Amino acid sequence: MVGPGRQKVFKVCWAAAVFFLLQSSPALGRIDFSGKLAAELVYDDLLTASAGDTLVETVNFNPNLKIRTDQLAGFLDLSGDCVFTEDALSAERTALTFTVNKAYVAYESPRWSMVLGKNRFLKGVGYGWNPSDITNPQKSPLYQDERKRGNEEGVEMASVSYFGWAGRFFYEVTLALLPAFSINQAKKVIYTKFNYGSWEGFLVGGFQDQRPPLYGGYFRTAVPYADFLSLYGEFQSTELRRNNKFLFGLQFNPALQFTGNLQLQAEFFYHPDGGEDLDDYLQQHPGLTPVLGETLRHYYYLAALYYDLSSRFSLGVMKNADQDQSGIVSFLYSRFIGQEAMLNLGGYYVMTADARREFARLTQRNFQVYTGLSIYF
Amino acid sequence: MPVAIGRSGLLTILFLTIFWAAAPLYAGEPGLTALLQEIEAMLVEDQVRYSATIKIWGAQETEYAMTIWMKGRDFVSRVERPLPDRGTVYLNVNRNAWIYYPSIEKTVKSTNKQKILGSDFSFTDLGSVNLLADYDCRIIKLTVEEYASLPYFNREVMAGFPEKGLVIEAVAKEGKTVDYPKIRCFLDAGRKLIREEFYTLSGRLLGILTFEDYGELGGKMKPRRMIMRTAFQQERYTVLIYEEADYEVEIPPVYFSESYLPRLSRM
Repeated sequence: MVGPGRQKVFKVCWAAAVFFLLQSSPALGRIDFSGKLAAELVYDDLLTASAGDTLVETVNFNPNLKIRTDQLAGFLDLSGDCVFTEDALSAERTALTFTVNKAYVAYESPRWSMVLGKNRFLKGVGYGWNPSDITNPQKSPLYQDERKRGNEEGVEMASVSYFGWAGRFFYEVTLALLPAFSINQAKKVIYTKFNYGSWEGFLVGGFQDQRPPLYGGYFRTAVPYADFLSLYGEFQSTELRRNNKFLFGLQFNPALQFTGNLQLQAEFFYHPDGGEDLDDYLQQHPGLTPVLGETLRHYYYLAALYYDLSSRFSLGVMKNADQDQSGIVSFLYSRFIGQEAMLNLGGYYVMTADARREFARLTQRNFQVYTGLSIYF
Repeated sequence: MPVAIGRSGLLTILFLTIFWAAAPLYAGEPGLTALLQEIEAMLVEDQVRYSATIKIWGAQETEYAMTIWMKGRDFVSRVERPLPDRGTVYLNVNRNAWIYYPSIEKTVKSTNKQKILGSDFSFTDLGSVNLLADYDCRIIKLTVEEYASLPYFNREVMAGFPEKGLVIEAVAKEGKTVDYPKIRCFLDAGRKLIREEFYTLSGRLLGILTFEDYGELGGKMKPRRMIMRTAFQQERYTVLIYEEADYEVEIPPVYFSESYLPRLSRM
């Protein structure tokens, strides 16, 4: 069992590892301090008429500290946000928040990796959804800018990974322990990842006390004789029987016809064991924040385009395909300014912005546009 | 008067016929294989770590600093600057390509035809084409008019080239999957590779790669600057500058695995 007592042991071990790293680093390693200072302006139209339009100004400070010796490394990633909100009712609010995104110590050699602390370590291959990611909090797929998908970036964990290879066959086996977390998260995890040629595979099992085991996995490969196409798929299942979620995707890289890097993606996400109605879901899962695609029995489609030509542009259309028939269009444009700054312009528009529709209910908005300048140091 | 040819005479004629048919690749072109081997040795290393800069010139000028680890044609490269892109990793192994984006902590499958960092260099261009294994090569002569019509033909570098230089035409071997079906390589009077032109089979020009600033790089004589131009964008080009090279570095095989990219990104 991984309970609060174990969590204390975990934190003591983490503090000891940080202390050991700080002791050894000045003589052996290097210290990198980096981060970013960002200012963002968000304008959106709230779905409920009483609230009306809102304007949100945010100043974000995101420092990162990296300490590295030959084989030991420590990472600290913090966020501080000062948020000023003004809505149509002239209500003005200012909030100050601090978040520890990541804080971990790692031992790393070509064959072994051990991580202790808060980190994010499973990702999946899907663009809109990642059902095989059974450890991190589920993120909303509405944004193409993944940094906007939520603050819950990582999980506290202790993990040991072994990296092996034989010729061109590479594999990784990882055991991880996650101290007590929310109802959705597995607490003991084992996964293996392998790669041969263009084939990638991943299988994961998550085990909790008094809860059925959770399984997930993905594959990805280039299509033989058509390497400009990649196929991929992901799944998640409880005991390989219930609460199944599937994702299938196709990626198209029409290379030589374009300068720069162009990528087109089409994805299909299916959750056959979801609920019929969002209200039912909220009643059955009080306190849980519903995430698109995780709550209802829906078929979803996504088409996305990404173009990297010094500056980057991405455009996505996401839609469900049953009675609800709602969807969303989102875009993001990023451009370098010199070597240290980036300008972002993004947003989304909800199609069929009927308050009863799923997309509108989850975003609570008809549209949103945002622009921001990030200065890196 | 009829001439009688014996069995041994017939065998001799047969042998000479076969030799004559097979010879055009090399006869009159002594040292072609040796030249190709020299090009291979200059561009491809058993093991090396480069510090390099990629400069994209166009409507928006962008400069990237990169660390590149190479084993043969396999390479993994990490972006060091600009800061917003730091930690992005490009992997090319056995004609399979991936990109790891630290901002989203995901690895995206790519292809070796894709361009790196939105530049004009594809994964294949950075790893170099394999003229010896994938192409049938022969030396060709260009007319004065053909020389005059070559785009981005540096007149100073090419002075006297028609007389003293050498042009090798490489056509993909049957059954070989390559990104460029036809290539023309230009070697100067000292037999240094100074230019490669990439074509479709029908002869449409796809790109031009020039090799410049030959000099010592980590103790070996190499081109320290390469310029890639594609036929699709006339106003823009990409310059790759090799600044440092370390041939003694020990690169673990796991560097060339997709699952290792996140670790390489944060190193």
